[in-house]
Amino acid sequence: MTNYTHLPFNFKGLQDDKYLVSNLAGQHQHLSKLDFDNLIHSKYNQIEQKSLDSLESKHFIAPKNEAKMRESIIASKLALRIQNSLKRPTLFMVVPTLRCDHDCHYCQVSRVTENKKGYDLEEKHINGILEHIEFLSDKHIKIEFQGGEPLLNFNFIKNFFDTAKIKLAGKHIEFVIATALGPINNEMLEWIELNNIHLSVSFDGPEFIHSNNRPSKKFNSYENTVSNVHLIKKYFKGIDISLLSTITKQSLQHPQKIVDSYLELGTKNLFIRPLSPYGFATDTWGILGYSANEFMDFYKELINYIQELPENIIEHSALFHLNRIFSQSTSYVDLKSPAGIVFGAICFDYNGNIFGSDESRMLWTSTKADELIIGHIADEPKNTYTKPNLIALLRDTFVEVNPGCNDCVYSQFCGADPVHHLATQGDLIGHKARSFFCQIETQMFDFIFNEYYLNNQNRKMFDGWLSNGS
Amino acid sequence: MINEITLRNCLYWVDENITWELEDDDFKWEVLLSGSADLVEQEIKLLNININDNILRFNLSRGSHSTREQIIKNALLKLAQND
Repeated sequence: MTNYTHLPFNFKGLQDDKYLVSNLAGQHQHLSKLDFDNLIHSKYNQIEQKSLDSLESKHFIAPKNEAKMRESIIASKLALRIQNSLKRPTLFMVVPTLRCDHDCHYCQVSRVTENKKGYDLEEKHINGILEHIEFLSDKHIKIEFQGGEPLLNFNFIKNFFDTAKIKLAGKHIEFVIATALGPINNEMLEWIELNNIHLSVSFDGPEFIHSNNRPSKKFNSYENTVSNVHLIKKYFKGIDISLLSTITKQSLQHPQKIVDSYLELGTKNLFIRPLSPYGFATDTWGILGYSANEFMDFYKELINYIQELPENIIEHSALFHLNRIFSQSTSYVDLKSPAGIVFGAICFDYNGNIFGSDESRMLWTSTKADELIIGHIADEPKNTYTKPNLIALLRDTFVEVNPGCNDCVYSQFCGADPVHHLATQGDLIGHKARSFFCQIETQMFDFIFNEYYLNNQNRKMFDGWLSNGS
Repeated sequence: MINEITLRNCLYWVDENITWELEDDDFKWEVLLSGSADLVEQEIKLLNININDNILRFNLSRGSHSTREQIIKNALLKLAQND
């Protein structure tokens, strides 16, 4: 009989008297209460053999004489996981203009009206931005034009693209325009298709939700989005277009209608995201906002509806979580430890400021907290990314040691999001019991683990996403 | 058995609309929760789960809490060496 000892792990009780254990190596195991009790009380010979073998292979337990060696293996695996989070950024966001032709209620700080002067990124900055990207990046990168409505400064986008093709000739670049499709026309679409540029379009669901969330003084925003998406799918088949949905209080009652509206547009890919609390006036959050419980009730209904439909629909927020759990992916900026600031993305704002994330940019716009600014496009790249304020932003974002996270079973899969906590609580770590981010992520992981291990239908669907959708 | 630090770790998670205070004598701790009746009832359930979990953690961590810290330190050292 092997003389086992346990190695450090975190745990949580889940549905149906099951328990989840996880460790610093990024491994997890779903256990019956009986096996969990036996594990806790070191009655290893009473644990079911299959679970026992799995617990050993995942470094939850080890033969006593191997414990030190196993601790060293866990440390190596943790080091590798941290190193993966510290890879060079692959996402570079550029804000050609803050001007916008929509008046979205949840976007109060990162836009100005369409004709306002002084809110465009000047073309003289293109070379400077590309020098920063060249300095920071590896071979494969994504450059995403954000706004405002970036298409309102279309000449900048075209010139940026042409210059980037020359200056970053050795790199594989995916270009994306995040747009609401207001100013789009055939000339733009021909250029976008010719240059293989991807479109990322906000689509919040049926008309009574979309047009309410995203009103425009110029047009019916729902009709504009729907007609342009149909136009693109019919006549510009080479354009890859993805849609994402921001959930407001009004959306909560209509998960099925939101899914149906995506199917009507001919897309089987959803990306559902909760509201971000940046820059909201208190009264606006009161109108549009909700609790984590309310969001998750909506989300569970939406996922279960997707599972019942014959179409193979993928919901990408869940897929990001599944990839984080099962392949320790660090591609989703929100789920990184240390946080994805700079190491996940860089944002070049219309005024030349450089931020470590889009959220930092939004928070700076509403607070003017200059410590969020990493540098300026005109700065020498080699002197920009070692400044004390950036180190300070990152230093406290190791989830493994954050209070409230260090003994959480999901800390191996979760992220820190210091900007969220700075925005909502005034400090980078935040009190997790009061944290909307923590509440949403905890419930999200609860849901995914419960569904994966206790609901065969949803597990089958999740496995399908993992094999085809990642 | 539960000590004050462990108990405060559990109270960390109590809803912000509930106020709480700790009273102790030589033999036991008393936690007084105040707020709406429904919320207090819900938070008592959660607090009991947290207390039980923390007792398990405390029992598990004899020797292993410092092991966890050491593993994290070793991981960071490995990273620094690879830098």
